[in-house]
Amino acid sequence: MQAIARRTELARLRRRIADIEKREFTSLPCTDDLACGPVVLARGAVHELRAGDYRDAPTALGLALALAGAASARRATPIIWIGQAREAFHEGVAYGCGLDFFSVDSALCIFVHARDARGALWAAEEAARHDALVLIEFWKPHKLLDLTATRRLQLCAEGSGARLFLLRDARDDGPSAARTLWRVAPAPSAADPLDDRGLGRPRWDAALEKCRDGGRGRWVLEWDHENRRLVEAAPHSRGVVPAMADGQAEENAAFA
Amino acid sequence: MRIRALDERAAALGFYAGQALADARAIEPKLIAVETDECEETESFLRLAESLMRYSPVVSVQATGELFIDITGCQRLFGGEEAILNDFRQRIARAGYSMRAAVADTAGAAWALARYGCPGIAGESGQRAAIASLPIEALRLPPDLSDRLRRLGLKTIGQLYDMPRSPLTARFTKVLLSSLGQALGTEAEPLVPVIPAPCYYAERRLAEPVSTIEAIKSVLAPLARELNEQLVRDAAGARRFELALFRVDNEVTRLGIGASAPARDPAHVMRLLSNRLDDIRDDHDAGFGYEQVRLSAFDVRPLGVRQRAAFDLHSDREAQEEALAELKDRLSNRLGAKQVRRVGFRNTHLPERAAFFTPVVNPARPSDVSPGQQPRPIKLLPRPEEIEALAEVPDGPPIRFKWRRVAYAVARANGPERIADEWQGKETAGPTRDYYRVETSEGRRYWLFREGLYGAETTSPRWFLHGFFA
Repeated sequence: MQAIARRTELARLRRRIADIEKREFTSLPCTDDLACGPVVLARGAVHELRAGDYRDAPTALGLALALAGAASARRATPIIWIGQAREAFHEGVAYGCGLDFFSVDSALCIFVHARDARGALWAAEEAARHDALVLIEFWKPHKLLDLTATRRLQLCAEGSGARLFLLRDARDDGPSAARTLWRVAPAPSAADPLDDRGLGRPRWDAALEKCRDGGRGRWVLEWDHENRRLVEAAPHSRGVVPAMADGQAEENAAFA
Repeated sequence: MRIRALDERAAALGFYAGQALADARAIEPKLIAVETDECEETESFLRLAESLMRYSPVVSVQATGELFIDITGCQRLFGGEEAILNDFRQRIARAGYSMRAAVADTAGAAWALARYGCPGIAGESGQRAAIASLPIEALRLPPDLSDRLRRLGLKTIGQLYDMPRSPLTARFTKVLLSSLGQALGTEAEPLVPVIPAPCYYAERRLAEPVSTIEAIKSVLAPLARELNEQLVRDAAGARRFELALFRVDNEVTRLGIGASAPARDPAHVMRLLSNRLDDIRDDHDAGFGYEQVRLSAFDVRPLGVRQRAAFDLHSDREAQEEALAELKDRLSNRLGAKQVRRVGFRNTHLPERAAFFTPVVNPARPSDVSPGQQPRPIKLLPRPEEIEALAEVPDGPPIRFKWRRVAYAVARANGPERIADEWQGKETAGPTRDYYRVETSEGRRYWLFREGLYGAETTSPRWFLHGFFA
């Protein structure tokens, strides 16, 4: 008797959870699917990109810009780029002339330089309440950026439909409430057919480490400048083959 | 050294302004003398003038040491001219100053009464009579002109009333009649306020001084609504708002907030002000409390009443733009206008000058220059960092380099892209640079340059790392 009661109670709870999770999506028109490899990056969510250390920071930033460019190709949304002023001399500052390559319209960009981590998080929350693409650079591990902070960002984004790209250091491996969590590493660029010693299309080695709907995977992504989209690269001639982290990745690769 | 000003007790002892200090000291050795500091004097007078803006937003400071307060329409708030004058006298006396104050219909008459007449209030129609018996100098005339009038027997203002006007103008130029007109109110005299007077403002005088941020916020909410009503009535919005908090002890705290687009929504204005107030929470000094709060709107522009979309907010373009403008305001006001910027471009080849940041609120002139089509990094170091690089040939790309004590091997490279000093520029950027895009064996992409043309400008060129590609 008790076992049956427990089972019905569990079923009821499961239904409630399913209801809650469904409600997140129904309020948002889901017209622009932004794909990072075979994975669709949902609107109204935080997507976290972690890069090795500060030397890989531009790599992760580039992937975020490519995603922003691909998203704004469908719909012109403002891009809010939040960084911390004190990191400028160490990591460089955003350079307007380089945005065009990722088809990011510089007129849509707002650059925010917060004085410290607290300011950056406040700005991120404010920006997340607006339907925009938000890039948050957080390269120094900081105790303020914890589960609560990311959960708050996630909740803000759910309300507005914003996409947040949280760029942070991979050494800072605290818990995160982000919808998807990627580890980004640089990958040698594709060969340029016209110049065998020159640089080709930029490539990234992106591994999906956490996704709320399960599933993991690892892909080499490439920015197709002409068609303004992020594509999965053909296997690399120099041996960086997209390696699946585990066998299941392929079948459950498409989820929100 | 001479005496510039003295108090009543000293005057009673027979000292006078302009007396040599040594003489005065000889008469009374216990005399307390303080050297004047003109700068500080003007500054504290200005500060005092600012705190007197509690009576009216139009306070004007004259170079000759007078201060005009335009209390037109403000009597109602304080309970009459008499009440204002009494409050004013008490306030100045409490602050430790002596003064002569008069209330009249014109600035000129008030000046005359305060300087030469009996201080107080000139009645409704008594103004003409009140200044009639005052000496001619009370008209604020140039000294030589009043001297001439005096020599001709014209000693009081009243003597001028019934004289024919054209001979007066012919003999004493227009200055005399315009001064007379300004005193009697037949000629306009615009006052230049210390701080530009707002067209729209809402204020509250508090029965009991408040000092906490929360209390100020609760006073502020109805003020924001009141100001909104005024602005809606005229279909206007403001680009700048200012909150003035008047302390009991004559200090004024001003908090300004800027808006990127004309705004008036009370909720928005309140949010911006709350952010600013929270910022000063730790280091504000309320003294004995604030007794008056004024919210003013500056830089007023037309702003129509807009109809909001009832249902589908996402497709409402205007609403989205308004929301974005409000977001910009919130960010700029909390973090500082210089920290929230957009990018502009200059027509130059020098990478560090080609793109610049300009604040979102009050941006620099919009440039129609677009960035070039050359491949450019996404991040640039504010100062190029010197690296150790090794090239196969002196004018070829590097094959390995060392940056921040880490060695990198170059797998691929593009270049050089030669960027030379601009001949038309006034400031020189230094030697010619040869830029290379390089990719290390791990796949990191950098923007390096060699400074100086090998052989022509230098024999041992230096290498720098300037930017990062994705």
